[in-house]
Amino acid sequence: MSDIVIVEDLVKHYGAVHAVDGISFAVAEGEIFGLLGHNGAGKTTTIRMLTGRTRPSAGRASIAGFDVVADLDQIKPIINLVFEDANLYERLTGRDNLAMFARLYGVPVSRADELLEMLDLTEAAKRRVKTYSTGMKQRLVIARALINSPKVLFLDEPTRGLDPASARELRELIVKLAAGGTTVVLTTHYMNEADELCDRVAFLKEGKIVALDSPQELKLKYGRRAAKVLLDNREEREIDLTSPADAQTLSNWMSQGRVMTLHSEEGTLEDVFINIAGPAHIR
Amino acid sequence: MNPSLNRIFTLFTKDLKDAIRDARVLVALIVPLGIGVFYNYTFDDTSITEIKGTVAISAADATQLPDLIKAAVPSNVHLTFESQPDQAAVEKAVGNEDADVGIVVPAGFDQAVSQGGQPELGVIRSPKPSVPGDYVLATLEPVLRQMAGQEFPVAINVTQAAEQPSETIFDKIGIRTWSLSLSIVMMLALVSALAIPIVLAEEFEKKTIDALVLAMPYHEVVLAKALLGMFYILVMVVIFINLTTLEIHRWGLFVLAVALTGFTLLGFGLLLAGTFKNANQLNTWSGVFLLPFLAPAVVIGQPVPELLRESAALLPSGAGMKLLLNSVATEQLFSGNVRSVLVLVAWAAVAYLLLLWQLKRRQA
Repeated sequence: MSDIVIVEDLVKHYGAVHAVDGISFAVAEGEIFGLLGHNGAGKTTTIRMLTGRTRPSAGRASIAGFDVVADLDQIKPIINLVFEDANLYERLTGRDNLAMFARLYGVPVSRADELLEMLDLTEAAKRRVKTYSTGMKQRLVIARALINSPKVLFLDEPTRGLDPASARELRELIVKLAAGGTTVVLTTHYMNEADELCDRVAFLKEGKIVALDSPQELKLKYGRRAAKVLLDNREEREIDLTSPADAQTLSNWMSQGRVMTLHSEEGTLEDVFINIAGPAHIR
Repeated sequence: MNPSLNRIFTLFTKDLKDAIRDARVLVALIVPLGIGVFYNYTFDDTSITEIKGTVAISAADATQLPDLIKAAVPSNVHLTFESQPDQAAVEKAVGNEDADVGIVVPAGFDQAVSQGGQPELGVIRSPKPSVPGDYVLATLEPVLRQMAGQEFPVAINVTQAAEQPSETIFDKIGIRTWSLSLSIVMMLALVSALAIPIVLAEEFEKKTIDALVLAMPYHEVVLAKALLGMFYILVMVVIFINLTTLEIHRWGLFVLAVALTGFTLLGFGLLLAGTFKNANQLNTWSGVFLLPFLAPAVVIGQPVPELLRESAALLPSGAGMKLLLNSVATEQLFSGNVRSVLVLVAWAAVAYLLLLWQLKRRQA
């Protein structure tokens, strides 16, 4: 798969503040790529630059070969963004919201009805958005982001504020979109979500990428190689997988039929996050 | 349709449907209309030096008395004689204040007067003071002497002092026309400084602008809002003229004044929208910034110091008001229509260039 999003030494300064400080990465077509980091790490600024809403201070980025600054008119029809906030026209109906954006993108208004159906909003289509639940509004925001069938879909904290069932539905939809060839770049604070969804993730810290790999590789790299064993006498023991002596002990317990359960201790992406990004600075 | 025009029109039609449901926008549109209609029914263009009165008259046969009284009163007193069947009807008309004074003329009155017969003439005064009635009473003696062919003991030479040119615009076009012209400027100011900025500020506040600029450039968003403003102005001015029946003597100049003043003020209004954090904040402060939008228009034509008058004419609403007053007056009140147009064009250029700079800065 060729790279559809290419970022090279991208920088964004706000006065003396380096919101994004020379980041580089590439995202392949159909890949789900995660941008992770603390609040203020530079995730949203990166997405703002990639979607043409903020001009980079230095460096360059391209989408499908088009420069995000010079070729913005070519980029706009092939990207879209699911915003962190449900930024909808609340006095209009759900259908009117989608129909308007269909017209703005020059696609048939029937696409709005398709998406309402796809996101299970057909029944509420003629209701004003201000009567929608948080989950329904988020689904409408997603429908709006899909109105132009984007090649690259950016999602900024897409499941924030959603109940677990709605969040799961959304994750399933993202996987489905990627399977259909849509490239997805998302930011999230939920590490289990990034772990479940992303082919690769980049950890941002103070505007720089401090780690970039698949969740599995990162977990292996930053996690512990250990296993927790529950024995028949209900005793819980930890095995170091790099130690030949521990390996022999485990083998003995197995042959004696003493092992009740065995859990790997590879760590989670959250552990990796804490390890790499450090603790949050709560003031 | 051109894709850019299509996007502008799409956003414009969305706003037409959406913005009118916002009570703040609705109020900004309705208030100047209401004020204009109120002025229309409250004020009258008739000069206060004009006096109108009604005389109830019952005459048994033809008499030249009404014509002689009309001729004897000063030229600014306009009398209407209403014929009544008898004395009782005359008394009733005066008592009801339908007439300022009543006259009962007996049969053969004119002939009797001319022959020195001293006939009795009935005069019924109003229970309340009446200026036209007093004029009638004051003219009766000389008129009757004239009918009797008597010489007046004194030859009174009455001349009218030449009217001094009036300083105020009210005397030139009437307070109603002036008030209605000011109401139109108020309408332009409220649409430009309140209604449209609220619509744009709400896009920033609700972050819907972020979704819009993914699909269209910033400047198209601004153009769509300006188009909405011009549409509101067009609709409101048409309704206003129909409700008030304001007489316009130079239609071309009127359309130019409304369009150019509206477009210029809209530029500044859109600038304001980008300055405030949300629509409510803008609504709260609107009273303050409406002042520079409106005050120059009030000064135009008033007896104020020259410097103030000239300064007001160099501001958008002042220049617009001059053009508007010229378009509704029977004769041109102010010279320099071209200068007023140039003032508006220059301010429009300043406003929209600043707006462009603000948008670029926002994007950067």
